[in-house]
Amino acid sequence: MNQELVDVDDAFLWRLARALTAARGNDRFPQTRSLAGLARSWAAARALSPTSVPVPVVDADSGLPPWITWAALLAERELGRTLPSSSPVPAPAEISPTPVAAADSARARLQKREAAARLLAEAPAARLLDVDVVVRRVEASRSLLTMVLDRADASGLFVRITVDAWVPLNATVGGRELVVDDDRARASAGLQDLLSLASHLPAPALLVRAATLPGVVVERLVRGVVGPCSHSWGGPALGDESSDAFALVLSSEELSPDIAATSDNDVFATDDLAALVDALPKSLRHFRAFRDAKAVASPSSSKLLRVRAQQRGLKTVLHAL
Amino acid sequence: MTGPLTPQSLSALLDEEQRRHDAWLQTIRGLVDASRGLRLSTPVKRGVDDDPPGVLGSLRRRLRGRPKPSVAGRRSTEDALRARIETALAETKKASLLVDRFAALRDGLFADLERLHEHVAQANSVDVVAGQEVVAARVGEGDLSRSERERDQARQQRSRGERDQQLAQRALERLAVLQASARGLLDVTETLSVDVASFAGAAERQLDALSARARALGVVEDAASVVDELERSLLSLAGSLDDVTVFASAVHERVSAQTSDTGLAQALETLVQGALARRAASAAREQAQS
Repeated sequence: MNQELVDVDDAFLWRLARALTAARGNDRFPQTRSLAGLARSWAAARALSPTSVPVPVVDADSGLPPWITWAALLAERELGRTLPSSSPVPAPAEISPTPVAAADSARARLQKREAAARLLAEAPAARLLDVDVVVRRVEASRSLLTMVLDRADASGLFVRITVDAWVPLNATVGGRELVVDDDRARASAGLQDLLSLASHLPAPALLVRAATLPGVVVERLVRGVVGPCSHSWGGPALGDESSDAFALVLSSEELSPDIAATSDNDVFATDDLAALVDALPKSLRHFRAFRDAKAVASPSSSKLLRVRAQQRGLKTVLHAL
Repeated sequence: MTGPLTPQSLSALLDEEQRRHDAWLQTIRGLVDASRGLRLSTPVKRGVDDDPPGVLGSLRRRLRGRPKPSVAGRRSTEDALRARIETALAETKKASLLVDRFAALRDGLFADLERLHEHVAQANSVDVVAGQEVVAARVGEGDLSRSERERDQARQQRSRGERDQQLAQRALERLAVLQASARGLLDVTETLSVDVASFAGAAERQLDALSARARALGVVEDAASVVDELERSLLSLAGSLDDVTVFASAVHERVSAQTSDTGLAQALETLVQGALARRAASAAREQAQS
């Protein structure tokens, strides 16, 4: 399967940064503020040194920069963090009293490149693949963990999966108590592997898969996604044909026995959540689901989304861009 | 250069040139060290917030250090592939920064070389003027019709002219040495920059090809073989680069030791020829592998 990429310009990055800032993502979603900071620094660094900073492109399906582009940007950021405060190549003025156009030009290019890398180094790092695990409770043979897995999909969607689950302790973990971080990581490795592999699936499917792991009992599962993003440069079509079209979607699904009744407030959904929950195996029938979606949208896209939400009887939160 | 060059200002000028030359040597030493740091076989050092201690750090270290894809799930394979691609990206970025630094160095050295040529031309004119003074003084000294005082003045003029001539000749010799050294450094820089550029270019081309398939990671079974191929190519390039950096270190040591030797030009010529031969061998090896 080949990835279709669409060229965008630096203005897209500024708009994406604004949208991520306006998204007001909570802890269900990957950190939108740090992503916004990185996107802003990306645009600013491109203005300084367009040849050394990755050219912005978006995936045709997600409308967002693909993972490999974020990875390249973070590599340049990492390089910036290793640069000394001054360049190891002396400036022509320090070496040569006679200004020489060629030296100035090469030196200027280098200075711009290093300045761009240093600027990126000041930006927050995006979590392309990260896991945090917190122990909530420890019993004789198992522990209750809260695992937060952040993952940038190859297409550029940022996914956060939060799971509260009982995980068995076994001999390989080293005893009945979780003592060190390595043990905690080992105890949850199976669950983490599974969730990471299936992070693109809807939450009910994730729950079913997690339930297949021996000894793992899920108490709550939340899947939050930043993206897709529909805009005039490309990406998925929303129906807004205007040049101002822009809508960044943030959707979340939660599965828990504590939810009173399954409900769906996702104006972008294309599948039937109730049917998915009904299809859960018997052992998981006590789970209920709640799905929601909000968007950061330009005025023209907001108008279109508001009409669509009204037609479906949904209350969609729309943040102004 | 502002104002005419005098024999007396030559010494200060040469000291200044020597200082600049030493600065270039230090710069090349830094770049050689940086080139030597390019590796794809070891994990890239990460920042604190990218690889913190604790659960995440140990998990990521464990994933990166995993020699074979885990049979437990394809996710482990994909994450390991991602880590390897990130490593390749980081090394390619380092190489491309070195390319930019070499370009700045090469242009700076070229500017120095041009200025040294100018100094030589000026020092030659000083030599000619001093020589004319000597000839004129000899004529004046030999003129019996002149008074004793005038002959004394001519003798002093001849003595000053000869001293200036010697100064200018010594300056010319030192300038010739610096010229040869700068020329050698320029050649070495170009050799190194071509190799580093080749490394960065090839790595970037392969990463571009890989990025087109990045979406397939995790769903296409041959993703691992694609990355394996990438790593093999990059390691091969790193090996070629390693040959050059070892050579460059040798150049640096010899240049540092021989800056004041008159045999410098010949030594540099030999080294540069060696570099060109290594580069040709490297290119042939790369071509054979592809």
